[in-house]
Amino acid sequence: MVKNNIPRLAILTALSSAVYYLETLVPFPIPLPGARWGFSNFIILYSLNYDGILLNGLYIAIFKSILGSLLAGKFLSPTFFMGFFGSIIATIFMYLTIKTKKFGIIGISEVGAVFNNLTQVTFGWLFIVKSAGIFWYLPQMILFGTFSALANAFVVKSTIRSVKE
Amino acid sequence: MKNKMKKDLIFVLIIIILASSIMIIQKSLKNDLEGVEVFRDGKEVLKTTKPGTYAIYGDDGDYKLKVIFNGEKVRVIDADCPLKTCEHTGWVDNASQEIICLPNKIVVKPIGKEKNTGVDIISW
Repeated sequence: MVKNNIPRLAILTALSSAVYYLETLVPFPIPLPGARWGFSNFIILYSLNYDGILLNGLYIAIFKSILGSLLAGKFLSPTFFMGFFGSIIATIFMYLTIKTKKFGIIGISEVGAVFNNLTQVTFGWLFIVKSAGIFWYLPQMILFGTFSALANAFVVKSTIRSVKE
Repeated sequence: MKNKMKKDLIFVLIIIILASSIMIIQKSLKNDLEGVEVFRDGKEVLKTTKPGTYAIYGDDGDYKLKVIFNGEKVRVIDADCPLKTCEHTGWVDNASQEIICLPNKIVVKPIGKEKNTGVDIISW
């Protein structure tokens, strides 16, 4: 981690945590176990697009999950772990997608959303409810995830357009 | 950039079509219920085929939620979790759909009717 990266990472992590917390106040329209909007992940997408460094994205993913869930009062709850591992795996796969140079921001965002959902459901299956029946909800989660992914990609595109250093 | 955009949208469209078609398949594979099973933390805590309202308790005896089975459909009410996702799932009449309560690690699993009634398993 380069020294002058620290302030930028701190700002991005704070922003992501704030979005993570605000998101818990927005009701989710359909009942899906453990589902969230996932808008705080747009900051990871932005960071990966900005410098292309996996470690920086992972820092944001880890610390925004911890800080955001502390603020929301669900640190170390089952849903916290689902989001925590979902974000980390999604960050890794978004990074790999950027490396292939085959997809634009929308595609990268969608890959992140799908892997986030897959990780969450798999984690819930293995460690929380121990019933594969949770996979029943996966298609609905992916449909909602796609909506979030498009919104995130749109925000990142607008941010990149207006923030030029 | 334009070329990538087109590829992205096709990719997103494929995901949407895949997810929607799986949802349609789930809806069409409807199987009537004859009972309900409740698992907590992977262990069975209730199995019944009689209609009624059943309260589910935790290990230390504290109240978690109630399961209603009316002979055809099953639902959860009065859950003690904050989001009440299991309650909002509503009535379930499809045996392949389980009601899941993540904070309490509870799974309400409907038991489907045996499809092939040609052989009576119990009689032999």
